[in-house]
Amino acid sequence: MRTALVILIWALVTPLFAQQPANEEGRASFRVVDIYVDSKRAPLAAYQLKFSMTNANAKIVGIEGGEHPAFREPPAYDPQAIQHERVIIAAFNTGSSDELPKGKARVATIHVQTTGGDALQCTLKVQTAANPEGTKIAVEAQRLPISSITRQ
Amino acid sequence: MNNDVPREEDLKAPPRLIEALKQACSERIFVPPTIDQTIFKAAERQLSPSGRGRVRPFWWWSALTTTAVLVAFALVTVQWQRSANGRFALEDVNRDGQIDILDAFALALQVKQGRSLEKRLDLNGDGVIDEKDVATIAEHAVKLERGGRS
Repeated sequence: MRTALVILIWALVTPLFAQQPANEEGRASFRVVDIYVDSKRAPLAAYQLKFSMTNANAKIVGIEGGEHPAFREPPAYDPQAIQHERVIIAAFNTGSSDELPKGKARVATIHVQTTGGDALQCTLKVQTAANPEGTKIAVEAQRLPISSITRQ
Repeated sequence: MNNDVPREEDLKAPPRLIEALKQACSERIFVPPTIDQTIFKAAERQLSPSGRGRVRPFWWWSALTTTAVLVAFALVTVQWQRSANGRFALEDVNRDGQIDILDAFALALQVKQGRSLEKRLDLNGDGVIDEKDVATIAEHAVKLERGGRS
């Protein structure tokens, strides 16, 4: 009876240990990528950026707005980009110059899920940007992964 | 067989003809220098680079005409493509040839300022030009052509 109980416990516990390496390989990491736009001295009224990831095992899972009040609402994006590797985000604000960000401002945040332990590889390109008059301006875009949350 | 035809070894010119030909060869024909010069100048005109330059305008005009035809063809093609999909042309509010967030921004500014807007900007066809039309342009601007896959 005791032997049978030991065998039963061993049979139940062994698969749990056997599955652990597989879980580690398929571990999902959630990362947050902050998107900044630096408009220098010009007030930023509109922007359009293209974000792409080159990791084969990375996908976009969410997009939210930025820190500055003018761009706190989530930007426009194609819903088809969710669960895929690239997205075009764009937003505008018709407020006056003093209501708009100047210099470097966080305009959006992109949530990314990766599997495996690879570092996130992504590119960010400015497609267009404008001042309150609608005139195109030169801006710089930056991305900054600030945190990584790992879930098994 | 015709016996009247003389054989080749029997052919012989008359002595008077032979004498006349000898005299003709001994006399040198005088060609005036002016004729020489005229012929030389005519040849020079024909063969000189300036003579060949007369052909050049033809090639210039051919190249120019061909280029003009190609440019016209390209312009017509682009115009045709735009008119084939009128929605693209309509959404290009700022007329910069691209549909992006700046078109939505331009329309939003016009709506905010309460300007009288053209009917063509009623993109969703609800009879009103408002934020919904702005959103339509914004949606188009961020549309991924082939899904999210790169």
